[in-house]
Formats: sequence, structure tokens, C-alpha cells
Amino acid sequence: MPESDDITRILAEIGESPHAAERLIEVVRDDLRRRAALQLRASSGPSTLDPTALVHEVYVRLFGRVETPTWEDRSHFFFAASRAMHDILVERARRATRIKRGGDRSRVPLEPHHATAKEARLFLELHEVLTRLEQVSARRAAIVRLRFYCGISLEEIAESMGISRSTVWREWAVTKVWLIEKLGADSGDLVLRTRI
Amino acid sequence: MHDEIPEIMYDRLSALLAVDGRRREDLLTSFGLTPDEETTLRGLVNQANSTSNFDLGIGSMFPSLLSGSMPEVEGFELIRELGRGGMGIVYLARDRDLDRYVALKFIRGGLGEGDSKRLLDEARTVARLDHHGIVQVYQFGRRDDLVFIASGYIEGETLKDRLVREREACEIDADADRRLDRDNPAASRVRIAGVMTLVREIVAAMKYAHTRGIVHRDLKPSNILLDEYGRPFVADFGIALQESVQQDTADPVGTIGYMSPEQLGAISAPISPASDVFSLGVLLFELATLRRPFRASLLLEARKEIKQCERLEPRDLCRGLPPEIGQLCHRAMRLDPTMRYRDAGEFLVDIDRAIAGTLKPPAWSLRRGTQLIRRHRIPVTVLGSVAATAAAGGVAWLVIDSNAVPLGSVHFRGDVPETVSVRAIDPETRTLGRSETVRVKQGGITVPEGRYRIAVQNGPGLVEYTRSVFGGQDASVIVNSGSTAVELDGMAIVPGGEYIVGYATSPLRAMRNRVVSVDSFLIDRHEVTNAQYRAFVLSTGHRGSALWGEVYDESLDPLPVVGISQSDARAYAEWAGKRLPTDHEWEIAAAGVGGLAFPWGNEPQELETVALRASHFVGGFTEFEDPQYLDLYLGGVVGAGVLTPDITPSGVAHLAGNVAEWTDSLMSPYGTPAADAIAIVKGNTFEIPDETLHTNQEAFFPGVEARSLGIGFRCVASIPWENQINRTD
Repeated sequence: MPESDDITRILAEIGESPHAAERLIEVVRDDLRRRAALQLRASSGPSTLDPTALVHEVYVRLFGRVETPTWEDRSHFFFAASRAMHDILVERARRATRIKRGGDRSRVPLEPHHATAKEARLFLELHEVLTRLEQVSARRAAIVRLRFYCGISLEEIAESMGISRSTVWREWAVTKVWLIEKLGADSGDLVLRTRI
Repeated sequence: MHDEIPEIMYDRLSALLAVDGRRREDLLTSFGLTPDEETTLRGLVNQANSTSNFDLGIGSMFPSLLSGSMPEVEGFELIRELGRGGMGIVYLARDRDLDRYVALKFIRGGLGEGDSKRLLDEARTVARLDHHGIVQVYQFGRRDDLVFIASGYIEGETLKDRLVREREACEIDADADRRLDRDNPAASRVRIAGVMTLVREIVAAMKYAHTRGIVHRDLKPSNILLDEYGRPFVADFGIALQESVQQDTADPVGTIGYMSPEQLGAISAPISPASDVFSLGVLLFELATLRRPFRASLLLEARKEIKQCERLEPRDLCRGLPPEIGQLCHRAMRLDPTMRYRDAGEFLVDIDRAIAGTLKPPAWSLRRGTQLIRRHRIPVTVLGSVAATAAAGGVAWLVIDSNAVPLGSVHFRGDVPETVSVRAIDPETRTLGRSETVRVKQGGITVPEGRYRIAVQNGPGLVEYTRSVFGGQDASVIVNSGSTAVELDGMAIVPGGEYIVGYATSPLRAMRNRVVSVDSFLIDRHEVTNAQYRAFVLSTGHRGSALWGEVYDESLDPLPVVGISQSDARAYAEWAGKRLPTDHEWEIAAAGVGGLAFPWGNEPQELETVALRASHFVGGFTEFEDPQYLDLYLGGVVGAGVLTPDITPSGVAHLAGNVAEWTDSLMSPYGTPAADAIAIVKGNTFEIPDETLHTNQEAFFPGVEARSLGIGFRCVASIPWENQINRTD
């Protein structure tokens, strides 16, 4: 289990060692994964894995409640958390599609997993599109990771990236449109809000 | 796979989103795009402004991927999580039996057996709240130890989201102390007029709840939902429920920053409708100034801070606000609940006065006197007759028999007729009852409280007057036989018969689909022009349009008149020997026998003359002296003779474009012709991102005395029975 000291040290190394960022993601990912598993097992009632709550929980655990970390620390953490959350979900999505294809030998009833399989396919598609976005604009890709995967508010993103709120809002608006266009028509019902 | 949109289009999109209004149009023109490219780019702008699951977070797009399990509730199909908070978790769900979408909220925390009966009693009361400004509760139920509430689902944003956006647009920090200058965007009259309209609707909804004995206890921006037209819905009467079962709890229930001093425990007083009034005052304060009046986040600090509430002056934070805003806030946010408006109903009266420009400044020297009158409001005419009883110690006159329908009267002046025919208007459906002939006695008729269309035979013609009659009060009609020569040239005939009006998914019950039967009638081919309205003003001395200014400019002659209230429009129509169309008649004229979605057909099309926005509603506390209003108007309308695509096959023009139009109809959700009924406006094309308003959609509902830059009108005339023409299909 990582200690706050660990995190502080890793944070201090970012900028000097190219491996430090990778290491931070790893640490956060381990912790997130453990938290997620715990949360799912504990909840018998209505529950979805709530990325915002999870990320905040990990954040509090890593940094403690007392000191307010500098915004550089926060922005590194958010970045690490968004990458970690993304990785965990990609793992899940890959597993879900594997089960659907019968790659996994254990017999799984198809019906209850149908929705999951459909979501998993879209998720992996989104993963690819996001990789392309990274080539076009690293900033936009980062906003998607933070906003969408971690539920971090646009205000917080603006603060941690050091840009204005209106710029973040605009970048997010453009990026959403970009993503929807790239994802193509068949993903429409999952992407667009239900019109009533 | 369709052709990919080139990356440069996204750069252009980004540039367009950085500006708005005309600057956006100018920028768009400067790109020099082909028509196809322009269409694509406009589509992208609309898409960027609409909400997708990307905004709602990953949980909404991949619920089952993320979830262990969704809760199962019999009869509902859970779709996704909408949000979670102190109260519990809310899901979007589909009611399988009724095939409608609902918000399903699970209330956190278990309940004892005794509690649950009380909760259900309260739940029944809340579920009976059926008002167009309140999110309706459909069902309460239990699943294991969880209590859930199914209520209406409003697609849109919360008032809190809107405040965040407005603050960004005006570059205001919610908690900053820096005073804003006179020319600050927050104090723009157009914005403040919009704020007043919005607050008015919220307060009107709370009036409805208060008259049913329900106190909300947690009114705050995040509990006000706005639909896609920006109409407010009060949500989450949940605390009202929880509180009723946990009355002895020591902790305050509510939200710090919005709750009243008595809820915070800063003073000792029972919680009452006046507690909600305080929160509504805070809402008005925050909407007007874009700042939060209270900033403490901890209970003890908040108790201290709130004691200063009477010193708060909105204009200290935001110069240029009309003084009425401060006056309303002061009265609503008094520390002592008995000094506030007693309930939302009292608050509403003053809000309407502020909108109409008739709110009197507080007369401090007379305060005790006015206080007394306020507490014992009775009609002045009744006062004399009951004074003796009251003086003798009897208080019987305070007891009102709620079953008796009070009577009121209509008085005729001018050429008083011998008989009139009267048709009652159903307050909810707005349909007309049977015609009854009534003899006029002593210059008037007495009728039960209600709304009526009164027809007076005048020579060969028929003049009709619509009036709301209140118990114990007089309505008046001036009959003028000199004005019966209706010019039929400019009118088109609409055949009578049965038509389907309204739309199935309206959040307002009174606006949903129904079959109505109308007699055939004539409708003006175009909106009443400034020249026509000016002739009326010159002949009668009635007030002119708020847009005209000191010296009337004759170049306005052919353009549609605006800046007149619904009652001004009605006065014109009566003078012209016509009347205003009911909302049903307007819709039938626009949709035709075929029930079209738009006057020209069922396919949407771009209209060039639709620039006026409904939000350019300007209340009575200001005239349109600002040249920007005239510019907006001149840039947005066309003259009566100009043909635009929104013309019906029978030649009725400008029903979708140009200006919105007053109808004769009121929305009266209370089942009585309440004084705070709101006027129905049709045919506006305010800039909803991707669509023109359909013929069967109503537009919006400012008060009956409000004047707006975006609203004009046209008239109709009934056709005598023997000449009726019915639809043939």
C-alpha cells in the first residue's frame, strides 16, 4: 500500500525522472483498482462504480486531509488518476468482449451480458478514437480523460491546466462533437441523451 | 461510414463558440464557406451546445460496464444514474406500464414502521401537487428498506448550472466583494427582466404548494430544474417529507446559504411558508446580482452571518439594478419571519407589481399602518359592512365558506345592450361552454367567478369581449357601436370542426393533446402593424407601444407592433370590432386542416426573419429607451406585406417567424381565474438551437400586464352562425 511519503517523493521526482509519472499512474491505478473492487463487493443495494467518488477517495488517502497539496501536485494526481481509471476500464471492457466471444471457457449466460458487451465494444472504440485524438491535440485528449473518466469539473480542470474556464468549456464542447462524429452513427443511442 | 469532417472545421467551430450573436454570424460569413459546409458547421455548433452523455460522465454511457448491479424495482426499467447527493441516488428509469420516463429517487436511510405511515400521508399530499411549475411526484414505494419516489423527468439543466454559466459570461466570482459598475452585464435590463419572469414562475409554483399547506424547506438553485425552454420546475419536495418524520432532530435540515434563520437555529421560530419566502428572496438576490448573499459554510458561522440579512442591499453588489429588486429582497429576507411576506402568494403580488412598475416604495412612516392592512386584507367595499360586526367582537366574517362559488359582475358602459350571450371558458382546457343569453340589469350581469366570452349583438355584427370575473369584484366592458365595420379584406377564413391540438409530451397537462371543436372564424393575414395600432391610440388615448419613444417614427408603420401587453392587445381588438384568437384557434390557423408541424408543411426550414428572442421580455419598470432594443427589432422583423416562407396555404403570413403573438388564452392551473394566471403566447421562433417552434407548441407565459419586445398580436373575428363553414375531410 502506498504511503503519502511515497507519493510526495514521486511527485518531487516528476520533471527529473521520466519514469516518475509512469510510477505515479501505477500507484494510483493499484489503489483505484482495490477501492473499486471493495466498493462493488460491499454494495448490495443500488450501486454503480462512481469514478468521481473513487478518485476523491484515493486522493484523500494519498494526500491526507490536513495539507492542501499545491496545484501542480493536484494536476499530476488528476492526470494519473484519469489515466489509471481509463486503463482499469479498458481492462474490464476487454474482458467483457472476450466473454461474449466465447474466449473465456466458463459458461456465461449471454442475455444479462448483452448490454455490457455492447457497451464494452463502444468503450474500446472510444479508446481507439481517444488515441487518435491524442495525435491531433494532447490537450483535448487530457480534458476528455479528466472530465469523462474521472468526473473532474471543468473548473478544476481549468485550474489544474492553468487555462481559463471559458477555454476549457470551448475545448470540451468541440471535443465532444469531434468524438461523436468519429464514433459513428451506430453508437448514437449510447452517446446521445435520450430525447423524451 | 460518412465522409469525415476535416479538422479545420473543428478549429472554425472553436472560433465560433468563442463569440455569440451577431459576431458569430459575422465570423461565420468571413469563413467564405460553401452552403453545404455552412450547414455542416451550423450543425456542429448546435451539437456543441447540446448535452450528450459525455457531459453526464462515464456512468451514464457505460452503466452496466461500471456497475455491479442496478437496483431492480418492479415495473421500472432503470436506464442510468442521474445523480446522487445527501438524499440518496436518482436514476433515470422507464415506467414499463405507462411507457414514460421518470426520475426514480432512492431515499437514503431506513425508516421505522411508525414513520412510514406518516411518510405516506405526507407523500400523498405531495403527490397531489399538480402544477406546471412543480416536478410531479407519480409514485412512492418501498424496496427492502429503501424508500423510492418516482417523479417526472425534466430534460435540461438546473438553475445552478445556469448561474455558473451566467457568472462565467459576466466574469463574476460568486463570492467576490468587488462592486460591479453601472454598465455591468449582470444589470442589463434584458437580463433582469428575464430574472423577474423566472422568479415569478418559481414563486407562483410555491404559492400553489403553500396554499396546500406544504413547505418545501430546501429551495435552492440546484433544486430548480429548467427545461429546454428555460421554464422552471421546483423539484425535490423530499426534505418536506423527511422532515415530517424526523421532527425532533437537532440538526437543521436544508442547505446552508439558502435556508432561513429559523431553520438554521439562528432565531427561535417555527418553520412556516415564510421560511420558504426567505429562501426565495435569497434566490432572487443571487439571480439578480449573480452573487451569493451568504457565504459561510459552517453552521456556527452561518448563524452569525444570517443575522446581518437585513443589511444586504443587492445594489451594493451590482449597480444599475432596479430598486424594486432590493425592495422585494428586503421584505422576503427579514430576520423575523412575521415581518416577511407571509407566504409565496403575498410575495407574488409584489413581484407582479414590480414587473408592472406599480410597486410602491416602502412608506416607512406608515409602516405600522400598512402592516395592519396587510395582515387583514379584505376588499375595501366589504370593510364598511362588516366593521360593525368586527367592532362588536365577532370574527365570523373571517370564516370563508370554501364550497360556495363567489359571485362577481360585469358592467357595460357606452351603448349598454339589453341582452348578451355568455359562454364560460374552461380554465384548464380553455374550451368554450354553451352559449347562454343573459338579460342585462342595471347596466350589468352577475355571474359566478370565472372566465367568460361575452358576445354583444351590434347591428348586423357581433362584438365579443373576454373577461375574467373575480368574486365580489366588477369587470367592465365598454361597448362602442361605432366600430363594427370589420375590414374583411385582410382576413382569411378558417373552417370550423374538430381538430387535435396540443402535443403528447408537453410537461404541462393543460397543453397535452386534446380534440377541440371550433366554429369557423376569420383571422388576420398578418400581425397588427404599428400604423394600425397607432390609429387606435390616437382615437382612444390608450397608451402607445413601449418601443415608440417620444416622437413616433413613421418608418415603423408597416412593421408589426410590439411592446404592448396582452390587455393592450385585447383593447385594440375590441376597438377594431374583433377579438384575440384563443390559443387553439391560433394553432388551428397555423397547422391547417392537415395538422401540420409548421405553417408551410411538416419539414423544418431556415427562416431569415426570426431574430427576436422571447427573452427580450421587458417588464414595466423600464421602457425600451435603450437604442439596442430598436436595433434588435429593426433587424428582426419584416413588414406586413413582405412574404416569408412561413405562410400557410390560405395566405396567413408570419405565423412562425417575425414576432410572437399574444393569444386570448390564459393558463390557469389552479382551476380558477386566478389573478396570477399567465398569458399564452404562440408562434415565437426564439433561438432554440435546432428548431423552429412547432405549430402545436406554446411559447412562454409572462404575466398578462407584461410588455415585451418580442410579442405582437393579430386578431380574429367570429363568423355568425348562419355563415359557418366547416372542414371537409
